Amino acid sequence: MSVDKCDHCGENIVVRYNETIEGVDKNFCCLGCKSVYKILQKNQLQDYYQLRQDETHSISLKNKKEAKFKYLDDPEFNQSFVAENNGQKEISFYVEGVHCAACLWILEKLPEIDSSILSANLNMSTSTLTIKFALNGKLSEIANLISDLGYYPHPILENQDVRNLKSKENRKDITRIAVSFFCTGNIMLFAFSNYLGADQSMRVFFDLLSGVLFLPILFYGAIPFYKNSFGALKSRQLSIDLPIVLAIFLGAALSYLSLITSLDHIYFDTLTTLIFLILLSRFLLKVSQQKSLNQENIYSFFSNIPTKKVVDGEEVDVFTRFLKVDDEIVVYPGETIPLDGVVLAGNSSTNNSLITGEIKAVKVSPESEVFSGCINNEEKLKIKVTKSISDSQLGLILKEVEQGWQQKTNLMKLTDKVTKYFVFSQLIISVLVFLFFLFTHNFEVAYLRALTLIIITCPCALGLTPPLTITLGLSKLAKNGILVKDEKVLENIQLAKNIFFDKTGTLTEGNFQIIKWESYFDQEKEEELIFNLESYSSHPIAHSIREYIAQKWSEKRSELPKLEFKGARELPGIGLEGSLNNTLFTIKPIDNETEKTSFELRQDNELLARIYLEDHPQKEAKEVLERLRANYKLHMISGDNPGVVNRVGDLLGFPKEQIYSQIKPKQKQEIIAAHPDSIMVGDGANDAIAINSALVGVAVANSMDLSLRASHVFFNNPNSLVSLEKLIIVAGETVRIIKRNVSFSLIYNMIGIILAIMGLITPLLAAILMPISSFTVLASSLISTKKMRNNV
Amino acid sequence: MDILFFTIPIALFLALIFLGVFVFSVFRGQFEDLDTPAYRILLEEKNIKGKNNDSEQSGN
Repeated sequence: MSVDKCDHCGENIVVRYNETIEGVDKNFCCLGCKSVYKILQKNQLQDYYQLRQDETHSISLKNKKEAKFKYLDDPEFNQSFVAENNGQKEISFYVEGVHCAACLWILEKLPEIDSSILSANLNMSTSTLTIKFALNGKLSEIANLISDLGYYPHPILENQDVRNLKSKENRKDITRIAVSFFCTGNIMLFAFSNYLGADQSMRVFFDLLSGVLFLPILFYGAIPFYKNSFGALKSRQLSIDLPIVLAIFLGAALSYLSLITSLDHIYFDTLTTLIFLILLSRFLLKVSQQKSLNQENIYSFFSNIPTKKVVDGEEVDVFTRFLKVDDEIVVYPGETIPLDGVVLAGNSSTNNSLITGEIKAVKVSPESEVFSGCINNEEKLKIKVTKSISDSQLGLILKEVEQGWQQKTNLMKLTDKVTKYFVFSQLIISVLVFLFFLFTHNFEVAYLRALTLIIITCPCALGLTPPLTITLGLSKLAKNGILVKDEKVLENIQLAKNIFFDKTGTLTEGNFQIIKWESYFDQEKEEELIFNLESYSSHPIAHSIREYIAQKWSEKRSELPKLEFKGARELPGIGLEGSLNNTLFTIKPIDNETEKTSFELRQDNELLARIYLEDHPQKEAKEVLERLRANYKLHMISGDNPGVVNRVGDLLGFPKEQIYSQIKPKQKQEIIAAHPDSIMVGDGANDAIAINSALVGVAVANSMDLSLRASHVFFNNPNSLVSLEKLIIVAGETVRIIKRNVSFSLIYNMIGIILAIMGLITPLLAAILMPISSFTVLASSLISTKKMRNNV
Repeated sequence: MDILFFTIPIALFLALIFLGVFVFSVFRGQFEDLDTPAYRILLEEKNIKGKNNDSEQSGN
């Protein structure tokens, strides 16, 4: 039998789902793919299949998340998430899985599929889908439709006012920059003509026009500088904007005076260039910050767990954030317990690895306490909520994470301090120079020399360099899938001496491979049994095993039969059981096996097979780690048992004393705290506290929400080690460029100060030299360094 | 060269119009999503076709 490809996602078919649609036989790999195809077929939207570039653009729906959207119809949910106006409702979803033009097309076609949807608008840069729907439309049905199409919607709780304010502010900024650029460009044209020797009448005309074009800058473009410096003055601070404001005022006064008295001191061109460049660089920085992962985004993911609440004996779906103390909730096997509480009914076990990092299941029975973030393993539990969301275990960890965050940002303002001292001394020197020449010479000389001094020492290069270079560095990183949440990270990495790695998913792929299959029966039969039984589990290991078997069978060009187990259920750890033809099959970990991840298949207690799994180190892991070792001390820190950890450690060349195994989250944090100069790279929620207390906390792809929130940097690509290396290089080079530029502009300013005091340069020369220094700095940032160009 | 006294203000005025158009488009939100329209323009044709199909259907 030949291997067919799925007509929706193009994957090799292992288990066949066939259907004759409009007289043509179609093959599908899973029910999900089949249902998408049918939805598109029914609504005449088959164009989708022409629009996508190739088959791989549609993801197989085999591993589709089981979605429950009933909670979206809860009135309390609607109140806070849905905006209602003009007889229609509006909601925004963050949609997982959007990647190509075909996705855009199909999602914006939603109104044609469901008539209650009035319009759908997708923003691909943020993966945000805004849906307007009729008042009688059901949100749960809309969400189900989106999920049937193969995307996963997360409702976004974004305060409409905040969002509007943000976009309004950005629009104002762009307008300000546009107006400034308009004036600057034209003034520059006139100034060039004057410098090149326009005749007298033309010169007067150009100067007049420049004077007019300068007005919008003076009264509109430069407003942010006035606001900043006066705001700072009010709180008795010196802002970097103060000398800029001074230069604007003094320069404008002299220029307009020259215009009237036909003096030759006109500096409109200098001043506008200064203002325009600074406005632009600040805006660029702001945009790059807005684009990177912001905290509100992550929060909305986190509180999006629907829960079953018991109301008058019936189970109703509600949103977790609306649960209160003393509410009764029901948690089914495989679900996460949303809030701390006491078990009322049910005997089960919970997986507390999210909170404690221990994989071993904990038995629970009525009266026992359960904690938020734990996963219920076996039996339906009825729980009475005892703590509100912010007092629950998970909430407390979140709080700790947030506090750590705040402390850090307050600590580091060194660069600002330096510029403040610079501004202060610049002002003092200018005043002294003015007074000195007022007494030794006359007012005009004093004024000119003081102005020359202010213009030439304008800390514009100084103020421009850090934001510009950091923005360039951050955007380079973002292009490589490295999202930096806090730009201070770039500085902090320089101080790091140690790197701590979590094992699974960071050093290893987190993708378990079968290394040994001890068969005591018939391997083919065993594979059939395990493949089908594991389909009842959502554990990543189960997924890896199914992949392995499916791969093997598709190479043999044969198809796996479907087996329906009765009473299949998950057991604690990675166990499963289910019966087939009245014989009970179980999969459970092998007792007394600590060296490797392993499990065995039994039929009514008779051993059928033993399987050993291994998580492979990432590609290039060894080489990258070797390179990192040149500058850092590397440590491996894991909650796993010593056997597994040591084996991976040996493989990657970690010395024994730098391997920590069986470490609980709190201990992880203590170890990190004992090394204040460390980078922590991790993924699980049990890494969150450690990630947060590290100097630089890095969360790798597929991390838990909690770690994402705690981290300073997030890798959005699977190759975390290469990303880490890139991050370190870019951070190092960015700081080097900043240092290079800052020292250049300081030296430049020193020379400028000396020349200005000695009266060797006129304000005109200063006005030409000052932008040159800014452009030098600009070019230096853009060209960056050779190392950065080669590596990123 | 006296013509410059006349043409420069005209050039400035023209540029002012462009500035106005730009500011208008900024406030219409045209610069808020720079990625999606690039894709959407590819789909325009298909969109119209889709609509035609619909009207044919309702006509039948």
